Amino acid sequence: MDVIDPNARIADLIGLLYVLSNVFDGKTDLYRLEKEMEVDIDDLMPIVYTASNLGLVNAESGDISIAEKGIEYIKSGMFQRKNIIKNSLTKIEPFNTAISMNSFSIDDLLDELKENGVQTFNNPDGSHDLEIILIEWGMYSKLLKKTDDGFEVIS
Amino acid sequence: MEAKLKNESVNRVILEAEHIDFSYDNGYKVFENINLEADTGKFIAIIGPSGIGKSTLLRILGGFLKPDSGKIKLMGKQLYEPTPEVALIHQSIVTFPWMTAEENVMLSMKTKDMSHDEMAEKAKVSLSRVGLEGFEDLYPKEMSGGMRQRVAIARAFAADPHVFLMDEPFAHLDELTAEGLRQDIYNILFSGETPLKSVIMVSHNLTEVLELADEIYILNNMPASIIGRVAVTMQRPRNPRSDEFNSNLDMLYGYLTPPRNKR
Repeated sequence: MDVIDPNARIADLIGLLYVLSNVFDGKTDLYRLEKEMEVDIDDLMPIVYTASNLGLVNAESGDISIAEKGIEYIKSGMFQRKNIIKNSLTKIEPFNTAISMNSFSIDDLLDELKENGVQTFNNPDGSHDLEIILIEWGMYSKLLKKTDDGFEVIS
Repeated sequence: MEAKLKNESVNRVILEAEHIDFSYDNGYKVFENINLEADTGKFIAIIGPSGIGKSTLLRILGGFLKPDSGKIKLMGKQLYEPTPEVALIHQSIVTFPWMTAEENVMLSMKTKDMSHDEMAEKAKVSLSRVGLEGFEDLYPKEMSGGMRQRVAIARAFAADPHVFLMDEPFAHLDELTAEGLRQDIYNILFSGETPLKSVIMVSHNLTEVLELADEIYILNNMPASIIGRVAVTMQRPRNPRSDEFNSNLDMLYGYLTPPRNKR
């Protein structure tokens, strides 16, 4: 199961898609992207893996290209961009599991993810990473809202 | 000198990891069947995505963490705990602010049967080796980040290790300083004037890895395993702007983005 990388952020996604689209005409080598964006692999790869898992780019064998969905994202306004992310998140973790629970605390979601074989958050920083991802991606896209003791899926 | 060192004992394995498995206390499996060899005169680099466990692997190689199964061997003998023969250089530059450069270097000799004068003399030699001759009496606050990292390297040298384990050694330096230090570091490490035989570095900077390494191990997947082992055959000094260098960078990124059906 594909997972949102704990270090991936929305702002990085937008930067990646803009650079790919505007500087490289939609396709390039990852090493050229690294040099253009003046980053290293710890900065670059989390957003490349995440954008790939969301279906916004295709990354394979050292090459990266913007996908149809990525082009649509770039051309869309704020409301539609959130919808694109929201629809894409439903297919990947931790959101796939979160949706099945509807309402949950961080600890309950952690246990459920572990049960489902998702190991990404099964580490000392996992709880913090998970909460950041739920806020960064889930609340941005209006897939989730915060409750007193956790999160709830917005119907 | 470097060539002489390599010719004297070609391909002799200094540090090796055999079938290493490792899990956190909560049961999360970090590594599965890691095999790695560091030969005499070789600069080894380990790369992989963020959070894959590169620093953890370095700590296992140094005997600071015990693997669940498998063996670490130093010159053929199993390593069960940290030893002065394997020095770990951290990414955060560790120097003690109340000590001079010379006193910082002398720290690594405190457990040895040496007089104060002998330690001071060896510290001077070690500082000179990393280009800090004449700066022995400076305190860390009077030094640049690059100079402090050189002090940390001099301190590691003074313990006469056979292996350096370097954890992102240039991560906290500005790019200009890091580039200058990288240009010096390979020759300093393998000058042949010390017992040092091999270096293993983890880094998230692929340019720095390609500038320095003779051999690169690529970690990926979950739990992490070695998915590639690449010998870097480019002539030194290496030019990061050359086509050959970029071709090698492209190849490394290829390992980090396998086809989707193999992820």
